Amino acid sequence: MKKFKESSLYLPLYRFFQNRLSVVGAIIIIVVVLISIFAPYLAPYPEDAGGAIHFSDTFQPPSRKHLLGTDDVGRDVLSRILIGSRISLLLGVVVLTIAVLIGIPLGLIAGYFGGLTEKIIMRTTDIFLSIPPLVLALAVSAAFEPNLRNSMIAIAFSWWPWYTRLAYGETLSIKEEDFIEVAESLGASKWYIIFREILPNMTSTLVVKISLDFGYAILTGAALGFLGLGAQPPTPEWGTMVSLGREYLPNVWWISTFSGLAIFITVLGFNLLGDGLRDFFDVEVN
Amino acid sequence: MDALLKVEDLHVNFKTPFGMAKVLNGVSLYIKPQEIVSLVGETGCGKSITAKSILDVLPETSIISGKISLKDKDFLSIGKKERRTLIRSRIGYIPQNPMTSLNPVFTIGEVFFDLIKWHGKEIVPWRAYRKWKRHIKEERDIAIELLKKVHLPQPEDVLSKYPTQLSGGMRQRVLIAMSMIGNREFLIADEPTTALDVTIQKGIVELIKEKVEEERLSVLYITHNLGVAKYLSNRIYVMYAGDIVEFGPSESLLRNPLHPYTQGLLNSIPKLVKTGFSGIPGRLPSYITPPEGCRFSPRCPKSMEICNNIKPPLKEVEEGHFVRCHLYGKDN
Amino acid sequence: MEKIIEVKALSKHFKTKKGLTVKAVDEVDFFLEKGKTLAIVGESGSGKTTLGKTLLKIYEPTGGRIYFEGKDITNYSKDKMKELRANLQMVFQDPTSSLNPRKSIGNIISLPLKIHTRMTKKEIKEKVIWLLEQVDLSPAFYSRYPNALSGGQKQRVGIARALALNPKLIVLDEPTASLDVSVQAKILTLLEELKNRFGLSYIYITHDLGVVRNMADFTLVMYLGRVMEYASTEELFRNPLHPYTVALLSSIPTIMDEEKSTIPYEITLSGDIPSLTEIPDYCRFYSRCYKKEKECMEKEPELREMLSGHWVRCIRV
Repeated sequence: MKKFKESSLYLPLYRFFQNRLSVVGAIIIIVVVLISIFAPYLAPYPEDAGGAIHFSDTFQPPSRKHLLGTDDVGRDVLSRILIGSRISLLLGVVVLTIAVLIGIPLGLIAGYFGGLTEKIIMRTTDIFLSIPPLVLALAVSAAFEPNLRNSMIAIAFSWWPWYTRLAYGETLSIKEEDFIEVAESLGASKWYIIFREILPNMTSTLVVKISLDFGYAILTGAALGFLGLGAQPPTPEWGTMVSLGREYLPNVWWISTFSGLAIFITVLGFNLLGDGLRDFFDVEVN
Repeated sequence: MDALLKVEDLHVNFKTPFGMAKVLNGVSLYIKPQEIVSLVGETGCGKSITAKSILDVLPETSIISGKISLKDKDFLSIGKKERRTLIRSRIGYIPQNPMTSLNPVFTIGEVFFDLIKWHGKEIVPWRAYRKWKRHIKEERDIAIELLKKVHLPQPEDVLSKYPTQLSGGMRQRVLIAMSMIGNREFLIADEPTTALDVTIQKGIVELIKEKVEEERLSVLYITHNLGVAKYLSNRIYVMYAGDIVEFGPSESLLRNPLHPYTQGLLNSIPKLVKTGFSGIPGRLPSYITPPEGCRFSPRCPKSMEICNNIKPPLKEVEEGHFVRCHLYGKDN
Repeated sequence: MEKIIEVKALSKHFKTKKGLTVKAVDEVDFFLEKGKTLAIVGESGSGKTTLGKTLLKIYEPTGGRIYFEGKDITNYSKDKMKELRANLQMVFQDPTSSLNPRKSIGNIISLPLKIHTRMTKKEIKEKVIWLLEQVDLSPAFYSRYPNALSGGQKQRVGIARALALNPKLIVLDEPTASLDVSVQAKILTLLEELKNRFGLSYIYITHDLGVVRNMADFTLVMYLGRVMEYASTEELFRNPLHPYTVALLSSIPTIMDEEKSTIPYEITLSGDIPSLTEIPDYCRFYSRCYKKEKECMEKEPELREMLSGHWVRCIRV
């Protein structure tokens, strides 16, 4: 214990654990990730995630056999939600990977080089930012075939400008530090300065932003699914399931409620975790 | 003569993730009426914590014990609300950084009039802000009077300006004027010239000295600059790692420094004559596990066996010149 | 006598967004002999840091010439400067800002070696550890990160990095301004030792005349971008001529009685400092000067050699 207290991780972890809510967030996310990994083994009726049909079991309320009830074609809602977690997480990973890979380098370049490069990149970013993400995603989904893959691409397209902005702002302030001037005067290459001197200094901000955004990306994916422009039935996507269950409200309340709750808890988990990570990294900087 | 402000055996601990930081280790000091006393020490020695304890602005993680009294009224034993009102109406404060100590969205006048209006009272936030034009003449006159006292030219103009329109030296003068609201007798100045150029520093230090004489003030002046301390103060307290290691009349203390830390500090200062400088080996100890005995002993060139075990008592070596060091034993 | 560096009418003007010209450094002349230390003194805004960075060509000069060991390097391209960089190094004022918090000390000090030499990884590591020893830091610092270091230790790392390429001239930009005096004394002692050990020349930028007295062979007093007085340190402290220099000396809160003899008379400056965008075309110290006369407003005085090697920009001397 004494040794651990001297390690540089002690203080950040201490701050993280001091905020109970961040711990709750972390636990939620760990559970969600574990569920998505082991979903086929956890789900009582894994075949229900696909297009299985059991007409004898339609609209069963929550019971011992079907803990969260069944849907219009008799599929087990719990199984679908468990396996659906894979889709939500996949969507988050894909969207944010694309957004980060496009957005961050553009922001770094705009911030470091300045001048015309900066103007072109940042004005393009502004144009993208002026279109609400959902509208852009709607347009992309509508133009092409609405399916899960296209919805992910659509969301990613509306997402990268935020990362450009973030990286741009961070670059502008990090650029002012003396160590950049040192590297420049020593004759380090521009790419070395951008990726080895500047980029590592924004990782903490980036991780916090990604964690917070993960929730919003899932939410946007669910919204597209809900509007019928994302994943298509019978894919067990949470937003699609809420939309499906909506037709049978209020009597058959369990389909929409439980899939909605799954979205709610996951998004909340990422938000709480993001706040906790902010505490974690804050300490490191000071 | 009775002391105006008296601090006795002040201990301040902080709860930290790493354990209890025992910062102030029994600090005692006093300030007589119309006396300027300097508290000198390096970064992290606890001099600002001492000032914050007196002003009652320590963070919530702190645990304070001891006695702080102004004119025989013990602060620490009275209720929080009463204490705050008492401190705020009686003790003026000159902050360290004039650049960040004035809110840039208010004019000097707006801040000044509010300070005068609410002096010694509990501030009601939603009634605190007033446009300066609507202020009654009385407050305006007081503000102008005070600005004249700190030798600001065209005080009327200054009142209508925003802090960013004034230079650092002018802002510090404004803050000194503000600290004198309500005929306060006692000021605490926390390194008020550290952020300023030496040429500007000189004017500010001279101003403080002049005001002390004219307005019969007493000042606790916190600084790391022994030269300023010598120029300004009647007596100097030298602080190291939460302990007062030496204090006495400025002349006597600087002519004949007794504590090895004071000696090291004096030898470290580059002077206008070519003398060289030595520095002090090592660095400040951890406050969580401070050394037993004398806190300076691990860095002390004259450290003895006893220094590691027993905290040395205060010993009066010359008249009014005390030192906390085993080198000056009972026999001398 | 060999000149390590010489500048002639060196200027660095910046353009503000409003189109105003800021003459941060304006026609500065001086030279420095090999193995000596030149102090550049002045208040904030005097252009001393800009001068330091311009003569190392970290900033491109807008006028004048720079000679390094007799060669005119004013128009050297970036690539050519890169070759020369090994000789010309800088230690920055704020040790926290000059060390990348995300890189280990080993990584930070090895950067110049990676860029400028073809040493192998193992050789670089050995050299870095050797450099750490030169600045009295233990090899254990190799894998530590800047935030685990005290201010003094960080500045030692900054010095080690500047030493990595065996430079001939180091510009020290207020290297101890953010440090306590007991730490400052140790850094200054170290700098003296290194200077003798490696035969370095220093340009020492500072506002602390006590440091100047004890460190520098020559002193250049700057005010609003121009040289006001230039002499050997001995001479300057024995016989300060410019009213501004006297005011600077007089503003030092002294401790020892002997120090008082350096100060010819007590003076406290009043008056406003002109903005760098609105410098008058007469003596720029006029607004704060206590010896001013009508004739001072006629034109900007020339820098004149009043005594041998003692230059002053004032007509009243």
